Amino acid sequence: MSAREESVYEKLRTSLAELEEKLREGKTGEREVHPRILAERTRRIAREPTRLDRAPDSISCIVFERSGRRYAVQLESVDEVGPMSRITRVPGVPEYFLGVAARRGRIVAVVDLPLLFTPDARSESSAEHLVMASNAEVVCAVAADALHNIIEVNRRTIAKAMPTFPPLVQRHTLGVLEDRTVVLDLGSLLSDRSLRVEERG
Amino acid sequence: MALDDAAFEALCETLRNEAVEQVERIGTALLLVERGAEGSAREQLIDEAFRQAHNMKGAASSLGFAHTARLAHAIESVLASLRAMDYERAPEVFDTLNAGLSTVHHALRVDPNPEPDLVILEAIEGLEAVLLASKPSHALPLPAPPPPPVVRPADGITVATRSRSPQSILRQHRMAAEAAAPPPNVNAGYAEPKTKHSEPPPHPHASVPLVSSHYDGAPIPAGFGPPPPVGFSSPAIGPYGPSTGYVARADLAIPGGITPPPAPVVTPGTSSGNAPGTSAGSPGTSAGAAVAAARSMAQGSERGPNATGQLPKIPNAPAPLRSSTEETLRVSMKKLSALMAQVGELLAARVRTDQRLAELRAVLAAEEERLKAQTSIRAMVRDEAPAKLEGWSERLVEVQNEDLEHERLLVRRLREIVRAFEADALQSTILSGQLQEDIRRIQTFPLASVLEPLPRAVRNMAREAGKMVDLVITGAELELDKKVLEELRDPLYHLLRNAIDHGCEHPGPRTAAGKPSRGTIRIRAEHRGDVVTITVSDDGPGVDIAGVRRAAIASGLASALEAAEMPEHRVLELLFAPGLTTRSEVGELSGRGVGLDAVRTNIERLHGTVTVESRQGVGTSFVIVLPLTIYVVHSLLLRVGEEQFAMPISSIQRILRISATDVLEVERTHAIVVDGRPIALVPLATLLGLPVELPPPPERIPVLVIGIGETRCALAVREIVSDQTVLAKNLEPPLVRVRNIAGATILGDGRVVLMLNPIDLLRSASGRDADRFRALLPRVENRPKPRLLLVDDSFTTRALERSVLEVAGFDVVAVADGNEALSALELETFDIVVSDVSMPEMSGLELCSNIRQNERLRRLPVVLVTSLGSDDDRRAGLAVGADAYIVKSEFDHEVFVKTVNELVGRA
Repeated sequence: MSAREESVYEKLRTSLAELEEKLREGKTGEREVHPRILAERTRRIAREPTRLDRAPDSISCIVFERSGRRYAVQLESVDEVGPMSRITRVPGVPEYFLGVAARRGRIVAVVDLPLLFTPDARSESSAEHLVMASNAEVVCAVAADALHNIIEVNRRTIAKAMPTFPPLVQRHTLGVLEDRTVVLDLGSLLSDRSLRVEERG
Repeated sequence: MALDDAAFEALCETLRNEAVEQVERIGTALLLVERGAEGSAREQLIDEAFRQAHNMKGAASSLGFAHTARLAHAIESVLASLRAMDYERAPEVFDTLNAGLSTVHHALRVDPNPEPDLVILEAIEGLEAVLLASKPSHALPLPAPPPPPVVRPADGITVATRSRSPQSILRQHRMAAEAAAPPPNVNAGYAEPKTKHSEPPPHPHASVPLVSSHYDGAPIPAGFGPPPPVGFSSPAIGPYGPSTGYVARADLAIPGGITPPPAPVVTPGTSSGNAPGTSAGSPGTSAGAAVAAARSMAQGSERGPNATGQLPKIPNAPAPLRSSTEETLRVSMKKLSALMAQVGELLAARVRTDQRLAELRAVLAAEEERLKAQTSIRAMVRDEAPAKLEGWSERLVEVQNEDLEHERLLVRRLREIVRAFEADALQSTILSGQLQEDIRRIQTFPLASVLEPLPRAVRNMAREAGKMVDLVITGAELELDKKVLEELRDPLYHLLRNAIDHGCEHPGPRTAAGKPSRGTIRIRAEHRGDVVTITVSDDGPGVDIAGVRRAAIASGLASALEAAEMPEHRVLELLFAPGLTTRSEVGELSGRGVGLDAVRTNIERLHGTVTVESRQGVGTSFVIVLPLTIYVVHSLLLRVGEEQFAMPISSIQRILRISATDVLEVERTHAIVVDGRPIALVPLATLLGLPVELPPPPERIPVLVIGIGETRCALAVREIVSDQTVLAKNLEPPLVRVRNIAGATILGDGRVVLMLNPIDLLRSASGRDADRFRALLPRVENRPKPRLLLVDDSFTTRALERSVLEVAGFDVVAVADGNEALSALELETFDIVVSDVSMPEMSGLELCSNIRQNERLRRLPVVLVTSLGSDDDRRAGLAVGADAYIVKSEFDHEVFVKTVNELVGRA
């Protein structure tokens, strides 16, 4: 072995020894701080996470717009929100069913809320989004022109639905917000028997 | 270790499924016995039934299904006594057995809840009563089976079922089934009380120990019999075993159970007994049992005779009724469905491949065109280029030659790619098709699985109704999708019940009508192309058409007039209308339609159809047509207006192209002649409520002839796009059932295309909707026609005036006298009345006067058309308020039509 080679090996040995020492120290050091770190960690984990102020009877709603009307629906009743997919018209169903669309391999009905609530309402624009909702009985999509923010609504601050509202809206509306947004109970609305199309041949 | 709840539940489910199968097998065997099987066939059937009951009892006991176990035990006991049963008592016994079998389903639901259940107790008492009656000299109650929630491990310690480990319970479950397997011996156990220890068995095979078995080397008592008096050297199976067993276990008897017998029950006809504990079981009994035992041995059972009382080994008790050696694997439907869904996606991907291929072909075609153009330009430049451009022209030709060569290469390459792509696409079509078919087959089961219980059901229903009915099934081996089978069960039951209630007369009337006293219901399943047809037919009196008309009026489904005018095939269609026969006042007819609405709904959910055919005095047939799988439907894509729809090819009889001159006008509707017969022609768009848009005149109109049986209809469409195999999907609620729409499919490009419901379309296209089809061709006006009530007692006059008025564009309803006219006016709205004057019952003058006195009708225009042409007559007519008075002798079509038109404001 040449002198040069020996010096290289020597350097390597030194490096390894240093590394070993460092590792050992590190380990010992870790043991020393262990209880402290653990305690700190425990405190941190156990701490109540800082959350937005949320009254116990407040609900999270997604706000969207269709034909100039604003609706808010409870987030928990919404499966997903997505871009409008191609709608196929279904002959022989009420006009508020814009048609059907494919969603994750299922054929779901697309509902136009303004048309459902006031049959003479006319939509000027074609919807750009679908708000999907489902429960044990139905799966349905609601057409939306624009999606707005997600809001926290305190049930106590919602004004009751006005008696002038159409009966269907009254039945399934939690109330109206200051900016005229109608807060809907989408789950119960979609399950309404009067919405069902169950024609005999 | 406590048995995990989920594992226990899974075991319970397995047990329930198995027990249901066992009940069906017992039922089938009993039915054959009852039908008169004799000799060895009868023995075999009873053995089979017994074996099933015994196995059921065993399995139920092992899982703590006390009710089921006790019921199975009672059934088993009656079955044991069946061999020597007095034939005269047979019907009663079979009834009780069948009732008992039906109760098993209930017991399976109640178990493992130990609470006493009255229904089950009653069924058991019924069975006991049969048993007691069959053995008057030994009137003893059934001994209680050992308490089911308890098992006996080898060491004799009694433990509660739920506290065992899953492994042990599984083992026990299996052991029970194995041990319960040798039925003839068990049978013998019932047939013969064992009273002497040392008596040799009367038959060499009879020395087979009844119940002993080995499992993993550990001796266990098989069956659920009482523990043997001495170790396990000669355990006896069954509650008719040694009484000591019962005494020992009496304290564990099920609450409310049957008291243990003070002595074993003796089957009549037995002469010698065997000792309990001797060569186990010793079925030295009636000859039948011995023969049965011998037969069982001869059938290759591995249970060898063991006269020494040592434990015999039963390594592999053969599974009852399943002789196939094919290995099976249980796979959850959920997993299979997921796999099938993936195949669906694969299919969609393949459709997309076809689209890419089409695009590639288009590029190739464009390039080929360009190559052609290039070639001709090159020829032009070469041949016609002026000499003065000589130098340039050479250069140009050179460049073009290069271009041309490049194009040729490109086209050749493209051709190769397209060809390879086509081969690949074909290959993937074949592969995905095979894959799909294989997976479909995994999910298919023979129709027999649904049909098996039907003979018993028919027997019970027929007995209830006091009728004699045979059920003949053909095509039970046909395989269908499991989901289809599940959905088919209820409709078939409905149809059978209907057939028994209404399609089979009582023996008396049948004989009087020259028919055999026993009615026959046939279920015939056939495979035709990619559909399966299941026909349920009877040889009864046929549907009472007049009765259905009455029922339709009573249920408000049709007005008296509509009902009277309705053709027979539409009357039959009414059977499927909801609420037709729920009213009791329709008498004999009621019930004919019970459930038929539900039948249709169920079948349509499977993308199938159900229709009815009937011949007076000959019988009625219900024909169910189902796709082979519920997933894939071979369809024709149609364009109607701007929309596309898919029509199942199975419902299309013909595809034609017609011109306007082919269209006839028949009875207010349009028609075309197909095979020498006129068929109603309707634009599909009209039926769907879409704007009619047919190709402009010189072009021929594509027409689909759809039909079921006699009912046919030609649908005009704008374009036939293509034929495609599509994946059928149901619409999701709230769109539960949409008229004319059967479901939808998603095409390769993600578009949703609705699938049409041919039956609905046929229904929409016939009868009272006829007026709507006026909008057949662009040339036909689409305005609603004025409705005209034509009153004349002369058939000829009616026909003449009707044709004149219909040509003039009126919707004509014709009746024969004034009274009928008033009824029609009450039920429906008309724009004008045209009436004769001299008619029986109520004259035209009286009719007119009545109309004028009716507040609602007094403004209705009335035209009197009569042969009474004197001035007095005219005056009389005008005096009662007629708007016009036309004399037949002066009858002029034009004047007549003009007058009528003026009166309805159409002048």
